[in-house]
Amino acid sequence: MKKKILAAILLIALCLPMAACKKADKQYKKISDLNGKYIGMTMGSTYINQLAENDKLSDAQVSYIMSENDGIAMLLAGKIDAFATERLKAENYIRKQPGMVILDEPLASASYSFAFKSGNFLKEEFSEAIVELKKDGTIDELFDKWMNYVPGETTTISQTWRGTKTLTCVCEPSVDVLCFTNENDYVIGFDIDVILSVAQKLGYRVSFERKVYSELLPMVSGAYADLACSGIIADTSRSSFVEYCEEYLPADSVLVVREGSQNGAKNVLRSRKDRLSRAFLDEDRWVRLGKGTLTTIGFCIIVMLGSLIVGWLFFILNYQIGGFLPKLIGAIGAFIDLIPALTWIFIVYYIVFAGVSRSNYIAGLVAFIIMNSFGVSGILSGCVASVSAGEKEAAKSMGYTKLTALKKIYLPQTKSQLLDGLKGVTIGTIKMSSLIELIAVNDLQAMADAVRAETADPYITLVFAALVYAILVYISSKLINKIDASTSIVRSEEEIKNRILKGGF
Amino acid sequence: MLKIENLKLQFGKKLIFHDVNTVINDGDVVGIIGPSGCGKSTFLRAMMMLEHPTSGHIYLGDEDITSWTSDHNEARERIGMVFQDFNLFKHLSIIENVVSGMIHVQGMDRQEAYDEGMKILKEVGLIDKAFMYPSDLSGGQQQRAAIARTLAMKPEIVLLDEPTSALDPLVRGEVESVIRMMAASGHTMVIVSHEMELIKQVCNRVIFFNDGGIFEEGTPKEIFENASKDETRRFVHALKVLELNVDSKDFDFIGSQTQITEFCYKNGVSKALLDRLLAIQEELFQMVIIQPHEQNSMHMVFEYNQKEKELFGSVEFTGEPFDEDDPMYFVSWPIIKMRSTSIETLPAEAPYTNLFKMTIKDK
Repeated sequence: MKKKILAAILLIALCLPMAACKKADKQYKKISDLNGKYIGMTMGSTYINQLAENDKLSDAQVSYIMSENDGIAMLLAGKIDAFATERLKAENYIRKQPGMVILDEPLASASYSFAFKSGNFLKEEFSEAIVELKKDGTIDELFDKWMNYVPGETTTISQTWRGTKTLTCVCEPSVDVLCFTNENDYVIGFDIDVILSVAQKLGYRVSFERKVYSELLPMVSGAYADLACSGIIADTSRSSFVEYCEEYLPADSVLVVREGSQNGAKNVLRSRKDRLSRAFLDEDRWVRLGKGTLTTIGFCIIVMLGSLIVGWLFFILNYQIGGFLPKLIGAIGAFIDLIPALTWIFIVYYIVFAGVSRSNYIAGLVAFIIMNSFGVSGILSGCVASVSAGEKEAAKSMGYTKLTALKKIYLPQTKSQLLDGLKGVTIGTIKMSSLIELIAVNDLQAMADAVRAETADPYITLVFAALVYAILVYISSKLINKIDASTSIVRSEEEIKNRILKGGF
Repeated sequence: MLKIENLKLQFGKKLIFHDVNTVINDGDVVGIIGPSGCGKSTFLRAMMMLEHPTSGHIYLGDEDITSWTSDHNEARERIGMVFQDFNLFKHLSIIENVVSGMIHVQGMDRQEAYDEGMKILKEVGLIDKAFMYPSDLSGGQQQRAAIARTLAMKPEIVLLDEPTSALDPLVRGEVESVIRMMAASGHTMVIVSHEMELIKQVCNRVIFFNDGGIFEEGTPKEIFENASKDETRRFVHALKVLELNVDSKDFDFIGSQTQITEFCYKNGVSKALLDRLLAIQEELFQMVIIQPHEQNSMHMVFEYNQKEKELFGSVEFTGEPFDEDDPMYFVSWPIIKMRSTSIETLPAEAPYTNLFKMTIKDK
């Protein structure tokens, strides 16, 4: 027995040091270390082609990311092993968010340029102008200006000249130095100033429209915009539908990896207080989040009101008149029901509102109101259908018109069902309203993402946004429940008599 | 007054009724009876324009309410309907149900409507239920409330579609007494019902609806006691009928006896009565078919009254005129007489030459 106890002690003593040893941190040092690993790349970026052409990464897996700020979050969370970006941007990211390093060996050498639809004469005009601006030192001056950006002081060039026409430039303002937004949510940056300098030279004015990165080139190739910027790298593989003007800044494509361990996410997060301060207090970000919240609330209220009105109209058209038109409208509604909400929003924004500038908010409203109206109409139809055939016949036999019977007999007895349905539509609207961020509406989700991008901290503002949405859903549910409760069956003689005499029914 | 001219209703290829002509005068209480599925309820609904007639006209006073220019909602205001399943508005209290038409359809002043509603509820015996909801009431009370709701609209004519069918026998009486009260106070009514006693007591006219139209029409006495048509008589007395035709000496006599036995078992005829009927049928077969040299034919109709538990037989046959003293009938005729409770010989209509009418009762 004693021997057994001694052997056990010795065994434990041997194992302890091993257990105490942490696995050695392995740092990705060169590009080939990432072969077979997951590399994040923004959709539509040139990095995908560059990766395909790099022999050292023949087995690397691409993880598509919506934006490079998402890439930072995914990298730090251990979801990907690296993400691709330009060196200029990478240096800015690392400055803001420690815990990342840039691999020395570039993925590819490239340059920044502006994209134009293939065959667009503007490309040549811009190229000539950029050559001149490089020669006279304007490009260098602008670069220095934006590399030393001071919030509240550094601004873009004002368009004080009269232009022969106004060009539309699409951009994603999430690239430090090159294209981003200031504290007043104006789009500013080196790219913007270069474009404005060229435009001034050529006698044009420029209107900047925000899109997500993956939409920039499609917008240009589809002729919805004249040019695109935001640190775009010239990629000849796309020359069939876009062309690039003269380069205005050199750009290497690099890979950013986590500093230290290869074995998953490392907690490089700063203290809670620091994070809260950066997310809300620095640069008065709480104001933008507040404005975004108000935009979301206003959007949802207008959508719900509009949906109720239009939904009621759809329903009455079918209920009262019938015929071909309601059937056609119903078929459209059925189609919209079948497709994802985001697809429908894009259809409205890009197709219905094609050519209408600054239409994002209206397009969002129209898309949501139409989508919800079919739901509201369906709820009303369901309410009427749920009334017993006998009661409908009784109302008809008493001489009630269809409309009077609807208002006085059918809807009153299906109030709970109606309110339940409307509650569902309201909650759906609040939650889905976050999609309008993708058509560049500065709602709560958009502001949360913007702050997330600026602070490179994905968690705080996401949690904030989630809480606000949850509170909005909770409040609206409570309100509707209260309306439902206030309209429940009355039992007292006095209440019934008052209802008859004072017009309550 | 409601006048119905050549009214026809067809759903697709299915003919419900056709060539219906009748007049309902002010003060009339018309009962409509008929077998289930004959179209009487549908006829009532057509009067109300709840079903659009395929052809024909309905005149409410001078107005043709079947015309496409007629305001059907306004016509329905003038005609009231009480449904078999009450069809009260379940989200409204009883008083609200009663005043709803007055306020929403007729635009009456709310106080006036309330006072009138309470008065009507008192008349139908529901004043203490005014502030309750339909789900709180029994079937009979709900039907009375439905009647009150109809009466509140002051219709020119009230249509009642099987007003007591959905009620259990214990509560039917309360609704029937309200209907009697309405009849006594001069309301013009049309009642579709299976309750023959109610129809007999309150109606001044009865329509027997059958075969897609008005089969027979008359006063209650005429229809219930002296119906001119067999189908009417059979219906009102709830007679079960068996018909047999014999036209050959090779007639399947055994089969016919089986048929009779099955008929009797199905309709609860007693064994004693069955035995007597079988014996009578056997003797008739011998007397009329087997014994004579010539080929005779015989048509037998037996009607069984389940209520009175008595069988009526009508036997027509061809051949020589019947003479009870004829030796040929020496054996059979006494047996037939003995087995029946009463029997009489009567002149027959062509092609038959003889007619026996007999009654067989349990002794």
